Amino acid sequence: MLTKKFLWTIIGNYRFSAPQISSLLGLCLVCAGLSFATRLKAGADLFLTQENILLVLRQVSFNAIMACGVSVVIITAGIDLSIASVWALASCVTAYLSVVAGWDWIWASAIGLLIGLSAGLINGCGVAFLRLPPFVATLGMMSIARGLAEVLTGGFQISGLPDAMKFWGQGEIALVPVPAIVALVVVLVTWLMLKVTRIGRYLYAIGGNEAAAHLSGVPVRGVKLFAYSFSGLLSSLAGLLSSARLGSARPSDALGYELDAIASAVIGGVSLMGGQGSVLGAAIGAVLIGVLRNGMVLLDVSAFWQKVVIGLVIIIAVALDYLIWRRR
Amino acid sequence: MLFVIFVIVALVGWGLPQKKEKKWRIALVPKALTGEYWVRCRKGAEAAARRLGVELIFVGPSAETEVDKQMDIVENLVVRGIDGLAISPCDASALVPVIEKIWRRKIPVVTVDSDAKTDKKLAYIGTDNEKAGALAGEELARLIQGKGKVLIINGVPGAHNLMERIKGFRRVMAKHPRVRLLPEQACQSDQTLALNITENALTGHPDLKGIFGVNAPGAPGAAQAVAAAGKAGQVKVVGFDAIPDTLRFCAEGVVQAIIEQRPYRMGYLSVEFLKKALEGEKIPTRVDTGVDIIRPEQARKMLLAKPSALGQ
Repeated sequence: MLTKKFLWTIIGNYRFSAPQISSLLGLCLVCAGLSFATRLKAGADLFLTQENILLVLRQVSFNAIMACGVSVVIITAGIDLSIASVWALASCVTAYLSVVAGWDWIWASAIGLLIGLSAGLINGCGVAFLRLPPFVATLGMMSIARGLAEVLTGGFQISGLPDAMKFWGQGEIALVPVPAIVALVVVLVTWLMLKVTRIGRYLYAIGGNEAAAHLSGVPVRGVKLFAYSFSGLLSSLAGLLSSARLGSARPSDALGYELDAIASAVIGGVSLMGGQGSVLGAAIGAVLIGVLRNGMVLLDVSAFWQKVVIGLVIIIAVALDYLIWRRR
Repeated sequence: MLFVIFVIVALVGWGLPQKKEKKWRIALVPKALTGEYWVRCRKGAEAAARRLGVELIFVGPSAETEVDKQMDIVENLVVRGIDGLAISPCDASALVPVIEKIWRRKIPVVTVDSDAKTDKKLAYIGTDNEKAGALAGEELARLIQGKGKVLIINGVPGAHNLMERIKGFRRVMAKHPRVRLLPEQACQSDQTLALNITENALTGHPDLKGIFGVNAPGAPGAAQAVAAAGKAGQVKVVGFDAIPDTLRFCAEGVVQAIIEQRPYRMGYLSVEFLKKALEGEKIPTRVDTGVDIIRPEQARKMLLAKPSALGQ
């Protein structure tokens, strides 16, 4: 069982997978490069300063949480396109209950998370029981959740979240931004779940070969339900933290952010074919994207080029993974 | 992969021009990078930067909905090191903590085009929307000779600048007792929806006299419905922002007047005033950049001058 010793064996014997190593090294190189380039350009290291690192940690934490959730789905060879819409729906529901209906923010947040969980559960039902392709089921939810957020708010923003809730997005504990701490906990918990628990092994088994997993007694439907619910829950968590940071929620929040999360997972070596990858990689991918965004502002890269660079990094990272590591 | 990433970063780092001389470094953060409006704003800021010898950083989110990305960018700019910030906040309240953080660092801030709900800024530089709305009202009242039914097509209900325009418009209309304002409609900044709304209004009120499109998609949507109903010229349309569709309808005489804001001027003045403030001069706290009225004859000239790249 989960004794301390057992845990240590797992952590001690943990070997980073090849894509993880390459993305981690890539991240280190990018950081070194940025530190070097800002020195050259501005005469001082703007990148590797305490202030900037803490800034980047806060900026990447929302995407990292969402990337964790979607990675779990991708490992089962599925995809979840609804995550960004669920983010918006959950934050609008919470803001509505807390500001308009006057609920306590804790209960409002609980309902927001429940909404995320339910949206994921519905996705899971669509995939597991109606046998819809994950792309289609979650594409539908992407539209439904966004639409519901618009219905609920009438297109308006809801502003004025209580300070106690804002703390979760804006606050710091011992200098470290609170959302970064939450993200770290989420990454570690998800990682342990995938490595240690039976459901973790089932997730990989389904992604590797669903038919074989089914034949060897893996409860495929249940595990899929779990994967999509987990993704929905984490998306709503990311949404709540982000709206806490902004102090408000809009139905247009996080428009298009599902691609950021999926890109993070893919950069970190989570295979879209399923069965491979880890959330540590996805988290590294999220940090890499955030670092690039931060670095390009520090280096005055024309804003129009920033997207091109990020796109290039996604393609190069994945292409090289395939070329170098998969061939062996 | 490592090598390629390193090369990209290094190229990016080295490829940038390195200016040795000390210039004021001013950042302009728009609501979105793309869209003709912001391109014009950027051109104005660039012109001011060239003339005044200021280093300009123009960086912003890709879409006006990306409030959090805009926040990230401003935070990153502070680390980057800037002397002044001009910002058009995507959200009037969400950006307040960041703006105040910058203010505490003694970096002068001005808001451009849209204001933020804080007094920790030097100035707001943009359209006086109530005045512009009143101007639209006067124009429409003149066109319909002060009587008849008038429809207001709002953009997004609740948007502060649009509410100001409507306030100004209603104030003028209240002076004309024979004008009847129909219940206000909202097109959610969607031109198709503006078209549908106008079609329905024309069916319900065959004697409709005037339409006011409060933001860019309103007038072209309304004009399309008016033209299709064969009522061009009979139902007067006044709108905001000379986007290509609106300009074309104006040239054809379906839209009688367009209230045009001056993003170029906003960009220019924000850089100019920030430089003045940095050099210790006092600047006004509210700067109305004013509006232009485009009428059909002028729209025709603009279309002839630049048939493809409109509105530059």
